[in-house]
This record gives sequence, C-alpha cells and structure tokens, in this order.
Amino acid sequence: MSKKSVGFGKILRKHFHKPRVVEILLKVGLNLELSRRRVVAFARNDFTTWMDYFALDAVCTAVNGKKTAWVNMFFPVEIAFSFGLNCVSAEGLAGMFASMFLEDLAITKAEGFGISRNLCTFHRTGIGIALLNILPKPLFVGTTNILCDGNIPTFTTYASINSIPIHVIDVPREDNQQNRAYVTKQLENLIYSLENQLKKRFNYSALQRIITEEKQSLDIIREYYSKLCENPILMDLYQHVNVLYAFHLRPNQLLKAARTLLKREEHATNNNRIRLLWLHLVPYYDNELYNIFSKNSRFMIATTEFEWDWLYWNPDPQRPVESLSEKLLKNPQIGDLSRRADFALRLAKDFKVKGAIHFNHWGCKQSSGSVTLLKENFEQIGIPFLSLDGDCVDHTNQSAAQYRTRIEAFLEMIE
Amino acid sequence: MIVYNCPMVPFEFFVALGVPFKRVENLGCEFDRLNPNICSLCRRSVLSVHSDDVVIWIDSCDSARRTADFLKQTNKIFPLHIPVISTPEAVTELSNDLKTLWQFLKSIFGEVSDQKLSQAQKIFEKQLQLLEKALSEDLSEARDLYEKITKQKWVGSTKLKDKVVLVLGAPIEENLVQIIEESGGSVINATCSGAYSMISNLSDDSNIFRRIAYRILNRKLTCLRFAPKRNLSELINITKPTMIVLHTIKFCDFYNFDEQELRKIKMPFVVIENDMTPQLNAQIKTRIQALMEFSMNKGSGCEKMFDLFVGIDSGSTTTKIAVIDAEKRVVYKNVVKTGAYPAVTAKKLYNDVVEKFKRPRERIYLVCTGYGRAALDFANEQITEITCHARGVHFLMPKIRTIIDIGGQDSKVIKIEDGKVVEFAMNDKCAAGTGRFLEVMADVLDVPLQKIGGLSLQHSKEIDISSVCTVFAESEVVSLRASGHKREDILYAIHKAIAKRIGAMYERVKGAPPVVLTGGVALNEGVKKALEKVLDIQITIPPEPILTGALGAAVIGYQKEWL
Repeated sequence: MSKKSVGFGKILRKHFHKPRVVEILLKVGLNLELSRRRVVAFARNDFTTWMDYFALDAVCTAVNGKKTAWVNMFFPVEIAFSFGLNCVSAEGLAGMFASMFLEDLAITKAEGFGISRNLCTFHRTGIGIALLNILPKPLFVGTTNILCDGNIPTFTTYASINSIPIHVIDVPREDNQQNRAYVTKQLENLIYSLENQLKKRFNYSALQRIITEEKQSLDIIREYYSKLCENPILMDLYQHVNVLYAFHLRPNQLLKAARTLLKREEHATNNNRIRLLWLHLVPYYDNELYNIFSKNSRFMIATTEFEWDWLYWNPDPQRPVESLSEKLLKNPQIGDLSRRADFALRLAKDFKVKGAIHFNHWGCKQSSGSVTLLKENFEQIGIPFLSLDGDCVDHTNQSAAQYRTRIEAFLEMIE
Repeated sequence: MIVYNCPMVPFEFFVALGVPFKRVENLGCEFDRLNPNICSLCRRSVLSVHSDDVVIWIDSCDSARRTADFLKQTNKIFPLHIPVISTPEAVTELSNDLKTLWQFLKSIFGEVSDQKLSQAQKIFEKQLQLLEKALSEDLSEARDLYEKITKQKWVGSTKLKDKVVLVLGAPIEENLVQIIEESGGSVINATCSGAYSMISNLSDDSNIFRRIAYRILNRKLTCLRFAPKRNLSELINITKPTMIVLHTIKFCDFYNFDEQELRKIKMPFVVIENDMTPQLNAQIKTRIQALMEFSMNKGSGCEKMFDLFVGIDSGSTTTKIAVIDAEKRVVYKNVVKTGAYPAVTAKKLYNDVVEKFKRPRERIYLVCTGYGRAALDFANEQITEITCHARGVHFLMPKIRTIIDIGGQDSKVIKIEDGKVVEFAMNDKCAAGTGRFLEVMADVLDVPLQKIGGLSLQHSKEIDISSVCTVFAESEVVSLRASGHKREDILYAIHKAIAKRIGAMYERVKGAPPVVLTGGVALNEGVKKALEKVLDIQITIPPEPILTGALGAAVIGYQKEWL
C-alpha cells in the first residue's frame, strides 16, 4: 500500500494479456513482500507490524492457491480454518489490486460482464479479478449478508465463475435467542455441507482450539482497551486497513500481536496530536489522505470502527458453534442505525476524539445511506463530523484536490 | 392506514385486520436526507409515507434498511427481515418474525381471531392461484386481481400485440409502458413488483405462519438479493416474449446480474438504467426503439412510390442530411450547426433538398434520426441513430462488425451482423467518454478543439489522468498544468482516458473487428490512436464519419422501397 505497490503494479500491467505470467509475478512479488514483513514483525515485534504481516498473509493465501476459501470479511472463518481451508476476503483481493493501481483492469472486465457501474467497487473489482483468471481457483466460496446486500449476488457470481457451490449465512438484524438458534443451525448446516463438499470429517476439537486461541488474543486486547483509549497506537492510515483485515481474517493468529501490547511502553508522545475517529473503510490505494494523516501529521486517526466490532463478543470454546453465531449477531454493524451509532459514539468518547470522519465509499448504501442521522448523533455530543465522499478501491473515482480541501477545512474547523 | 414498501409483505395480515393498506409511491420529488447513492426509488417513495401511517418495511435491501432509519423517527414501523435463503430453518425463522409482526399489528388495530386470519389466508392463496392462471389467459382479469391483492396499480399491458416485451428488473412506472406501447410493443411486467413477483409455490403446512413464511420464501421469480437462483428460463418459456428489457434503477445495482443469464438465452434484450426523472425518457426511448428495430423488416416489396431517399440526423451539435436516389447513389450531403431550434434547422435543410432536386414531396421518403428526431414531425419515419449508424456503415463498408460512435453528448458501441444491430451499449447520463469531455478539456488547456487530437500525438511523456469523471478530470488537468507538464502530454492523457471509457463499453458488447469509428469525434486522430492502443485493434474511419447516421437513415428509406 505504498509507492512500492504502485511500481509493482506498473510491471504487472504490462503482462495482463498473459494471465499465467501475472500469476507467477504476483506470487513471487507478494511472497517476497510477505517475507520482508515477517522479518520486520519479528524484529520490531509490535502490534502494527504483526497486523501488517497477517493482512498480507491472508491475501497471499489466494495467490499461492492452496486450499483457498473466498469469503466476505464477516464470514465465520473459524469454521473454514477447522477444515484446513485458507481464507481470503474478496474485499481484500480488490484492495490488493487497488493498492497496485490495477483495479481498473478488473473493473473494466466486470463491466464488460454486465455488472452495474453503481455496484460497490469492492464487488466490481472482485468479480473482475475472478474473470481475469490470474488466481488459482478457490475450493470454497462463502458469504454472510453482513454488512451489505451486494455480497450475495457477487459471491454467487464468484461461485458460478469457478463452478463451485455457494454457501450463504443469513444473519438477522437483532441479537436474541431465536436468532442465535437460527444462525447456529445454519452454521451446523454449513459444517455438514463442507464435510460433503470436501469429503472430509469435521474436526470439532480443531474448532475449539481456534476459538480458544482467538479468546486468548481478544481477552488480552480487551483488557488493554482502556490503555489504548488513553494512548492510541500511531499508525499510517493504510495500517488501519491491515488491522481490521487481520482481526476479521486471521483471528487464529492474533496472539502474537496481542502479546506485544503487554510490553508496550507507556509513553504519551501521541497525546499532543489531535485525535479523530474514522468511520467505515479507508481507501486501499496510495492517495492524498495517506499524506494528510501520515505519522508526521498533527492529527491522528485514533481508531476505526471495524477494529472493534468484536468488542461485545466473548468467545466460548466450550460451545464453539453457538459462540460463532453470537459473534455474528453481536456485531454492532448489523442492525439499525441506532446500534451502530451507539457503538461509534462509545468509541468516540472512549478514545477522546475531537472529530469523526465518515468515508462514504462509492456504492456502499448500507454505510452512508443514513449518514446524516449519524452526523446528528455526533453533533449532539459536540463532536464535529465530516461526511467524505470517495472510493476505497477505484482510484479514478476520486479527486486529490477535493479530499484535501474538504479535510483541511474540517481540520481547521476543529483545531 | 398500513403502508408497505415491497410485495414480500404478508398481505394476509392486512386483509384479516380489515385495515386499508397501500404501497409507497413515487411522488416525483426526492428525500434529500437519504444519501444520494441510495436507490432513486427509495429516495422518492419514502415521501409518500404520512406520519400517522403504520409502516411494514421489508429491510432486506440496504437502501430500504437505511430508509427505515428515518422512518423510525416519525412512524410506528415494523422492519421485517426476509431471510436471504429458503431452507426449512429460514421458514421457521420468518414464521417466528411473522408471529411477532401479527402481535404488533393487533396491538395497534385491535384483536382479531386466529380463525379470521385463517380465512383471510385461504382466500389469499386462492386469489394467488387465480392470478397465476389469469396471467396466461386473461390479462384484464389478472390486472383486477393484482390490484385487489396488492392495492397497487397494475403497470403493464392488458392486451398483447405482436412484439411482446418482457420487462425484468426493478419496479417500472407507466411511462415505460407508454414508451414501449408507442413503439409498437406490449409489456409483460416481471419486475420485482409486477404480478409475476407474487406467484409462489404454496405449502400445506397446518401452521398458518409457516404457510405464509413458506409462500414468501418460495416465490417462483426470486428477488436477486436472495441466494436461491432466479429461474428466468421458465419465465421466458411461459411468457414467450419477443424481446426483453432489463430495467434497473440508479443505485439499485442488482438486476444487472441477470445480464449473463440473458446472454445465454440469446434473445434480443436491452438494459436501461432509470433514475425516475422525466428527463430520462428521451434516453430510454432511444434504447427501447433501437431494440424494437432489431427485428425491423427491410422492405415491403410493394409498389415503388419514391425516387429520392433523404436521411436527416438531428444531433446535439450538428444536423446532417444525406440523400440517395433510386440507383442507390449518394447524390447530396450537408452538415450544419443544429443551433437552438433543431426542427427549424432540419426543415431548412430538407427544403433545400426539395428545391434542389425539384421533386414533388410525395416522391421523397424522409427518415429522421438523432436526438432531435421526435420533433421532426414532417418525416415519414423516425428511427434511432443506433439502427441508422448500423445501416449507414454497412452501406459504406459491409464487412464492419463493430461501430464506435462518439458524438457531442453521447457515445455508443454498436455490434452489427449483416447491417443489423445485434447489441449496443450507450454511455449513461454522464459526459465521460463523449465529445463534451474533450470540449471541456480543450477549454481548460486553451487549445482549439480541432487541434487537440493532433497535438496529443506529439506527446513526449506518458502521464495518466486517473479520473474519467469530467469534473474530477478537469481538476486533475488543472493540477497537471500547474505542475508544469507539457500541454501535449496532458492532451495525450486525456485521449487515453476517453479511450478507456469507450473500451469498457466495447468489452460490454463483446466488440469484434473490423471496427469503424464514427461521429464528430472520429475527426480527432488522437482518439482513434488512443482507442487502437487501448483495444489493441485497427480502427477505420469512414470518409465522412459525421454523416453515417444520416446516410443510414436514407438507406433505411431506400431499403423499405427496394428490398
């Protein structure tokens, strides 16, 4: 997610007429970068470097193509892991293309396939990537209806391009006993159909082990939450993407990152910076916002909402399937606006932010549809709120000058 | 009054309660507190809800879900989540939610016995069966039943003519039916709120809530947001249409997923994107008429009545005229500025021809095309520019298979076989990829429009303009200029950007060489070269690329008489 990715993208672009060459180059390039991140993570051993590593590890899974599962970011990946599958989120693949400025190739391909230009660019790019035939075919395609309604037709298309079945988990909008039983039953059905599809017996204790590890990590991070609120980790904007991606796609690996928090030094150098809360996603490509919120800026993004959407969930390894159903239903993003607003306001207060920026990703109706109401909620407690239009994936659908003018005016306002 | 947003609601409840109900409707203005990227239908229809209405709101699509956030502040509302799957667990889940909804309604409108609900449910199922039968036997009866069941106005034809147009996709309004009927077709409405969306498989479960849940989850034509596959082939077998219109609404992006299925079925179809404004009617009309012209007869073989065939192409920037005689020779052509009064300009061009050739008007066959065609009421016929370009190009170069036409305000990629249009794509309501885009950029760089193409070829450095949006691109050009880039390099980047936009449309129709470039922009060598690079093909420019539409119009007249 830097100039380096863009440079690599330029090399790849020249070879797109030969899909196999692109496949090999991608594999070599990403694995080299993965090794570099691994070395950095071991050397520095801090939270963000581990999360940077996990995020790329998930993407490399798809590129390396060993027992890959294409899932959406809010899929119960723990079940897929317990079958030995490697999960990658299709949103992450779209993000990878965007970071290399190659998303236009995929988008054009998807539009040629008939996909609407209004459809979210994560989905459009994902479909384009599937059609470009440069990645090994997945063994499994699965999605939930969280967060958005575009997942189902999009993942159905991935499944149909790869001639494999689609697995859909329907998550209702409220967390109650009836809905937990319904989602649990669906997860049991998922396990059953995976057994049939992969011709492999489900390993119950493997799932228990994964959830135990996840619990250990999340417990440490939860315990440390109040300290993070006092002294948030300084990151580049794109690293927030890596963090939320690692939380959702690599819950089984988080422990290494979580443990670094226990030995984190309590210096308060970041406290002079003006803190902001980021709502919804961050653009994946190198853009003006990265410069505005660089590590040298007087402003810092204290946190983003998707880094904490697990906060109300307490994993229970003794009842792993039920527990995963609770994870899905306790996500504050799934219900009406008030649920999301309560959670976002809590983060704003806990992290003591001076302002909030909501990034309205093109085509994402669920996040920005009622953003005016969210803005009112923030303004009622005296936190200025900027609703910023842009695109997380398609770098041609944004204007650096517009980003800068809007953000700077907002920052001048809160300073 | 109960107000609902989607025909997946349990109508059985409303009937049992004996409370008046209606569906939300488009009142013509938009609710601007909903983000502009919410579907146009939600933004428009939410305003038809009164604060004392009780709202039953299906929240399975994101636009509806976010709309409910606002309705919660003003109304008694029950958001009903319809599971996206149709398994037995989903039926149980929905039946439990339906029970809660039934309690909610009774708490507002008063107690109703379960027996009454059971009666209402039986009558409703009976009506649905009758509706299914009537849809294939008697459309007037189907209309009456549909309106009785849903309390929503029937939108569609009640008598079928030769050209039966099956409309799929998002809800349509009367204007689309009118356009199709005026173009000689009749409409079967199989959109997500037409009568076909009501038809379901029924269950014999003894539990009434499970029965209703089963009906809702087992509709024969499912909504595209749901996981079960849509069975379009069966619908097409039953309705036997001549052609298909895939109707999408701006920011309701689901139904485009049907396009792949339609390609497999190999029936003529067109995709239209509607933003529910009356201003879009002209664009929709062009697309529908072009679809109708797919199956246009070439000639009647009847008595020869005409000896001069005139085609007028009334475009946004220029008006073109071409004349061919009974020997199929081009005997006259002319291009003038359209100006403020397209009809007056066209009439003057036509009068010049009448005077020049000294033929009685009744011996001249006039076909008009272009955006201004509807206003040219003195024509014998009005044909869309899509068909005309195809015929014109085929007349000049019979081997051409794809036409890229870039005009002042729109651009098209038309795929042809033997002079007939087999598929086309048009830009939507946006200047990206049109002559207007180049005009704006030429203006910013202070270069005369005619020179930008030539200058772009003198570039020495490859730079990129990332935005295709005219407004964003303009600000990028301004910054590139400010950072000292050469004008030629910026112009080259601009030409690449337009070529990329057109490239996407070319992909969409699966364009194939040989390719010809027509329209005013074809005179710009820079666009031709950029397109050749992006598409990796050779492009030919006809001798007078502006005139192919007018020429095609004249050819259509000739073919009517002589073939």
